[in-house]
Amino acid sequence: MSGVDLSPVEAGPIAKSPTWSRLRRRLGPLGLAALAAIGGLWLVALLAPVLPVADPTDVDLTSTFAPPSAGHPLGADSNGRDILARLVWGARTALLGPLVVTVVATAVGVLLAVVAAWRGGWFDSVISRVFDLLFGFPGILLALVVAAVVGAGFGAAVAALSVAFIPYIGRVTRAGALQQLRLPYVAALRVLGQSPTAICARHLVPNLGAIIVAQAALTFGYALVDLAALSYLGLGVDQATPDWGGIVAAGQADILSGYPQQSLYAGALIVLAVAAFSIVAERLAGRAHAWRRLW
Amino acid sequence: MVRFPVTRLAGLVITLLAASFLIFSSLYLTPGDPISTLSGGRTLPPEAVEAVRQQYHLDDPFLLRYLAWLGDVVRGDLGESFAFNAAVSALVSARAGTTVMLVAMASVLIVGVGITLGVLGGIRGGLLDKGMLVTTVIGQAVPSFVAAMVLIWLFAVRWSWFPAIGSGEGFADRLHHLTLPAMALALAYLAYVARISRAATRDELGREHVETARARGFSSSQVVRRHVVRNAMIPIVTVSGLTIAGLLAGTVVVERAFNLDGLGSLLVEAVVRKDVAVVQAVSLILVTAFVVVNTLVDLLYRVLDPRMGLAAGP
Repeated sequence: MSGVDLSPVEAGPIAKSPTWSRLRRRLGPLGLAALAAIGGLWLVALLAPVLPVADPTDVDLTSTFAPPSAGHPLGADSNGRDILARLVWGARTALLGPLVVTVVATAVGVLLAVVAAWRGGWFDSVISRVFDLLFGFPGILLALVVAAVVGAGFGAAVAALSVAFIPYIGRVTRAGALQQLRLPYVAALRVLGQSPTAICARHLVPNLGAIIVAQAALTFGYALVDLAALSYLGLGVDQATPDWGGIVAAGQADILSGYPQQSLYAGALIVLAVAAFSIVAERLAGRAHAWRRLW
Repeated sequence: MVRFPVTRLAGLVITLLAASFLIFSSLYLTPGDPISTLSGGRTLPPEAVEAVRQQYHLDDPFLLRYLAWLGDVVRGDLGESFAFNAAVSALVSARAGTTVMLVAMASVLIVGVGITLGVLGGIRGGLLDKGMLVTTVIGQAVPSFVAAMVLIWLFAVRWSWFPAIGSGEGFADRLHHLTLPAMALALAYLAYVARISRAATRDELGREHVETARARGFSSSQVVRRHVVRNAMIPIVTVSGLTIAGLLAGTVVVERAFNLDGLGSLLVEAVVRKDVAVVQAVSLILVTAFVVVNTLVDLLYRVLDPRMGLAAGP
């Protein structure tokens, strides 16, 4: 992984902007370390094609379970494939899936929540009921039902989880929006003749920014676990493509023959990513209860 | 006294109806013939097609179909499985035992170890507390299948204390076989419950009535037992109960990791073999169990905390 220039990430002038210093204070040393870990994982995922690692699909049966060497820094798996390369390439699907889930769930969740809070009445009751129902329906179960009907795959898993995670964002946003709507600035803006869309888009949603971002970071961590679990079950990313969840599954048989490396390394990366996202989310929300999850 | 349980039960029924409707409608996610979806693309003999048509009331309009299906489900008729060639209800009852035992063992671990660690850490503070805080932050981020790999590697391969796969025969053997799966299933939830217990205990320690009790000269063990732990138990019990309800979905992954013959692995096998009838039945059972446990926890919470009152609130 040499030759990667990390200098553009240097804080430099950004450190002087008030948002950054506020963010830094809020995150604290642990939160900053978590943020750096997230950045590092994303960097590896994005740069996988140019990183000096072997081809993750190269089967070489002469180097089955090869110990770490210059050619295979973390050794090779049962098919002689380079473990490091598989982990690096596996980061791509492992992070891309949760990103799509988080973006879709956040966009739809915020939109529904704000419209429900603004309009109130029957629309609000219906949306709240739907949120409650979906919240009680575990994402992984929804993904399994969808996979049974339309066929298992990465796309189906991502689509099902995108829907399943909408209430994670929606419930928190709706509660926040209801509080904001009682504040005098909303009435003032209405009197000034601003349209509801403008008030919500320019003032209300930005005011809820911290909560929404915290909840989105939390969603990312959960979605990562669920998608990795589906890949582990063989119902997510197809087995030919390296993915952290799939790598854990592929290495399970090797654990019994005394080669736990690839399962444990992939598992450790999943734990690192989830812990980092949870810590950032918790620090942003400023409370331990951000961890709460029923399923 | 009666109003709260009644409204809560009505809510329970509505949630279950909505969830069952969601599961039922999933059959129509794909355009095309529901018969081919149900058979997973297998070609069926004409009499089997006729049986499916009758079971799912395919000649009726959509809402009637749902009601008829729901009626069958309530009577325990879950349809026929094409992939397993058996009645779905027979498949489910053969598999339920393992799942119930697994969830029970994981619950004991969560309640016993999680709450004890949390309360001790909260009271003692110091090194135990610091160490626990770090462990629980990491523990919460460990998905069950990753925990399973570590447990298999350490306790099944290196030290061979426990079997790596299978559910075992007879009670003692089952207990032995399900120990590692229960640990894998419990880990992340245990860490969460420990954290909540610690926070609740710390909150109570700082309360005025605790200070007062101390000032009046009660021994510290008495203060902790009577005033701290009892009050802290209210949030702890609630969170533990909800967590245990959450274990049900977790069994899907853990049972596959350890190759157990439970409902979770049945669900995954059914998805792989595209057997929609089994998938619908098992997911309905898991969701129902979740919603019922959730409601029980809510009622228990109100019993534990007299301030809430059984008659109060939604």
